[in-house]
Amino acid sequence: MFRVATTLTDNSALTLRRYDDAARAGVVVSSQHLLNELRKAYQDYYTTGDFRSTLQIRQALRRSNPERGVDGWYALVGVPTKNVTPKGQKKSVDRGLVALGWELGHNNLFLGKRVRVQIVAPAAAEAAEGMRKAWARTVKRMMEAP
Amino acid sequence: MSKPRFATQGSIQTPSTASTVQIYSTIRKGLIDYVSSDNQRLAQFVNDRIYVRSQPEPVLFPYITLLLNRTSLSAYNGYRETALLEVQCLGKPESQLPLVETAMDIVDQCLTAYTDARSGLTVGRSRTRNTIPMFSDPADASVVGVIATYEFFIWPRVLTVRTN
Repeated sequence: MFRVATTLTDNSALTLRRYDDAARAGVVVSSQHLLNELRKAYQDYYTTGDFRSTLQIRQALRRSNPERGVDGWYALVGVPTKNVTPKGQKKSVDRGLVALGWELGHNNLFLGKRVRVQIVAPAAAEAAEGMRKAWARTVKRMMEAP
Repeated sequence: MSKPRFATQGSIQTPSTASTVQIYSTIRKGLIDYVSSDNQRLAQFVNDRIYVRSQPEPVLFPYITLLLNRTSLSAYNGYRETALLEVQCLGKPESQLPLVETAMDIVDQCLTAYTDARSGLTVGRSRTRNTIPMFSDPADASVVGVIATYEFFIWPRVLTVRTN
């Protein structure tokens, strides 16, 4: 039994709860950073003006809400699988598949050769540092909040 | 130490991690020489059509392309590289898909837990493998393929030679 006692608590439960929220917010911010960078990257034609689908892909880029995985929070950034019928056209298009075709390479019927234009890979590599900073900035702010 | 600027006869020595060209050649030779558990070789599927980066045009199907992306982090003073080796095996027409998948099984078996300490050190770890979905216009839908990415850790002689 103590008299005139002062209680010291480590607040780990609160800290861990707050960190969990902060990490989730960090993933939101860093995935948004990647999304912004990808939108900037999809601004030109693939090879020539004959292949202008980059604009359609830019409009279709999305990020998912964070979900809890085995290693922590994760979010997806890219083009959701969805068939859309562009205005004035009869055939539906899966824009994600179009983007994947250019990213991995495909045998182009019109050019008569295999073509590959990587946009996501270099843009993501370029954005990695910014994503790390955005995540750290967010987590720091939330952990330091009174 | 020889570092080939051009791939002329005799300029490339394998196994070697003394240059990027020789790292590619070492991996390529490793794939060509590998005999699988059921006594199959890649040559039965793709002959020697294993190309770096891209294939010559026109090309005979099926064939394989290799692409290496290497980064070193500050750990190990940058001497240890994390390399992602992308292997694409492509076939045409669609009936070649079983051939392509089987060829990639041999590549998988060869590169999974790959260890080569004869020059520098190269070890293979995880991988991802996907069958490429069917694309539509402007892509040729009759081309089938499998893409796999292998993660390697390399202590390449081209860098570690500085520590000697």
